[in-house]
Amino acid sequence: VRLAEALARLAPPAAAQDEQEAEIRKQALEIVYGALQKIARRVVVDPDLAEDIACEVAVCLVDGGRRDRRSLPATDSRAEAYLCVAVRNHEIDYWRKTRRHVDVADIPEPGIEPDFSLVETDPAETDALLVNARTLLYERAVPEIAANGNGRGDPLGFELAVTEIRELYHGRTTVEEILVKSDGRCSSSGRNRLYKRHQRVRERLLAELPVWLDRARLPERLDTTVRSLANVELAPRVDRRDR
Amino acid sequence: MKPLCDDDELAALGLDRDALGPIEGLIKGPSEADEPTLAAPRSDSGRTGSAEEELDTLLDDVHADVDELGKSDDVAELITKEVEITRNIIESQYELARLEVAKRMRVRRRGDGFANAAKATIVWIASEVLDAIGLRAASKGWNTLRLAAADTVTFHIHSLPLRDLSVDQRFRPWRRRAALAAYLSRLRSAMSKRMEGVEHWDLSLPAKSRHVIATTDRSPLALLELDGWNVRVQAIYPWPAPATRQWIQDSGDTALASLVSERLPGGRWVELAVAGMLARLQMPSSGKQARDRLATLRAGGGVQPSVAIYSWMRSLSAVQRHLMEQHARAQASKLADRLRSFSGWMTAEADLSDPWSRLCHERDDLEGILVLLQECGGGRHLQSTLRDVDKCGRSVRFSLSANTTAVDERLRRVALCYPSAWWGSTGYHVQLV
Repeated sequence: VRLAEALARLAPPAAAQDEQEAEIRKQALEIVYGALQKIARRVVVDPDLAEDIACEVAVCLVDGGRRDRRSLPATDSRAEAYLCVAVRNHEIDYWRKTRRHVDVADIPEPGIEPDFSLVETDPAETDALLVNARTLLYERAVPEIAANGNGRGDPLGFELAVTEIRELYHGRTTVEEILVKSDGRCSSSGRNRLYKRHQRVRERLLAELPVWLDRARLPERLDTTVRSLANVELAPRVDRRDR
Repeated sequence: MKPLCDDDELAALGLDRDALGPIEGLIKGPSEADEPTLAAPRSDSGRTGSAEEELDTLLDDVHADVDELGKSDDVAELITKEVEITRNIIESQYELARLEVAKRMRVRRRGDGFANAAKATIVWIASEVLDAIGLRAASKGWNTLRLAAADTVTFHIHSLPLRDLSVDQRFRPWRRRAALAAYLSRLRSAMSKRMEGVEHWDLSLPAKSRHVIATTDRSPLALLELDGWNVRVQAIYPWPAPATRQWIQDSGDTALASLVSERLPGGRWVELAVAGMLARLQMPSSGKQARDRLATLRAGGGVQPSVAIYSWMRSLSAVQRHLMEQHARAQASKLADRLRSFSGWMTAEADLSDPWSRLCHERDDLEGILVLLQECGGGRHLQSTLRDVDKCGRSVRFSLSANTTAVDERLRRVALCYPSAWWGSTGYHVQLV
């Protein structure tokens, strides 16, 4: 059984309708738990904490995780990235509970982290993967999605908006700078117009990028890295305030 | 709103008050008066007056304020949208379906003349309750109601004795429950009608009457009350009460127990949502507890109350689970509409945390019901309806501004249990692409 399939099979074995289903669930749990242990050891520095987090994530996924294939990652590589997000979230949760990090700024920003793979990879290879993913996303996927608008919107405007969103993410520009450049001044209505324009672009990307990726049939790890990149660089930053 | 059935009648139908859902107020045609009024909707909060008039007044006030403050058109538009959507989100039960029908009637009246139109046309009544049980209703005139159903569904309609609809004091011809039961039984045999293998069914019903819509095995699905052109429909959740209190006690998770206890008592639907939360959102409180629980799971054991909840679900009949799913689908469709409205309403700086959290909680209620159904091998239709909801939800979450946050305990647990849940806490990463 592959990891992606095991993820969809996770559920409490004791609640299974028959013995056979209970056995399948137990096997699925072993596969997912094994993967979680490897990911947690890589992401979390303290080995004891890594084991605690791997156990906690496994328990949470068994009780509260999704159970249908279509709502879960389709490939093993994407399943690994999914588990990686789960481990990071539980680590953030641990920090918050223990208050080791008093300042929110101490919690690391979400990274692209293409090194979610269960097998050891060379850092140089990981960097090359990220560069390759960036090129694919911004120089192939975005222009092609922009050009295939079926008359909707302006392709150049779409590409410009994606560039703006990306530059905003990296802190290389600000909303004020964009507005001054386009309108000559920064106003509340201009800010909202820009936000709405970016919202429309994000909506379209979210709908069309997965379709583009499915058609492109990229190698699994590259495909997952492009998705992670879009997920992080093109969405507004995760709000880390702990109210 | 005055309930459609009193306690004695409910008992005779084998129901209790918790099994009743919200009441929908609808219009099946024009009012009795020659000059039909558009609507006199009354919300659950007891407010009266036309919802349309109220909205117009509200928007006029907003525009006046905007003029006074000298704001730009853009800002005026944003504020207007804000008012409109707040109203939609906060007062979602505000009989919009009724307004919709009233508007259609008005359009018709402007055209061919109302009297002719009322006779000649069929006006479909938009009802979420009837949608959920697989029925559509339409007005064919003063005392004719057309019911249409999917050809796989069969229904019985039982008429209930009339009570005085004009005053609060209900007309009760019976002093003893046994007498009522006998009366209902006689009515069932004499007046019940069966809808089977027909595309639609035109019922001649008294202008003032009450009916129980039931399955062919007499399991009640909804109550229907006709009062002239006004129609009231009330959902019935015909599954037995879950042992929610016991499950809360069995749960070792005090934070979750406290979260769900706040929602009780809330009727059968809320109890079902609470069962879904208890089954899914339990979390270990320490690393040691996590290790112990994982060891139990790996050995094939289970954690209470999850196992008890899933066993309860399996004890229900297929019809009960089907209806559960249908009601959940109706809620999901409504949620999809509200998410779309929310999306149009987002701005760069607005703090929409409260409405966003409410939408997330509603989505999580449906997730709980989906998981319960999936444990019994069902839930496919709900899953398919939720796909549309999630498409919209993901898109909203992908563009959520930093000022809009949803970080409560329940949503924290969602984010930790399901990393792709767009409705999880905004304080954690989410995998959307």
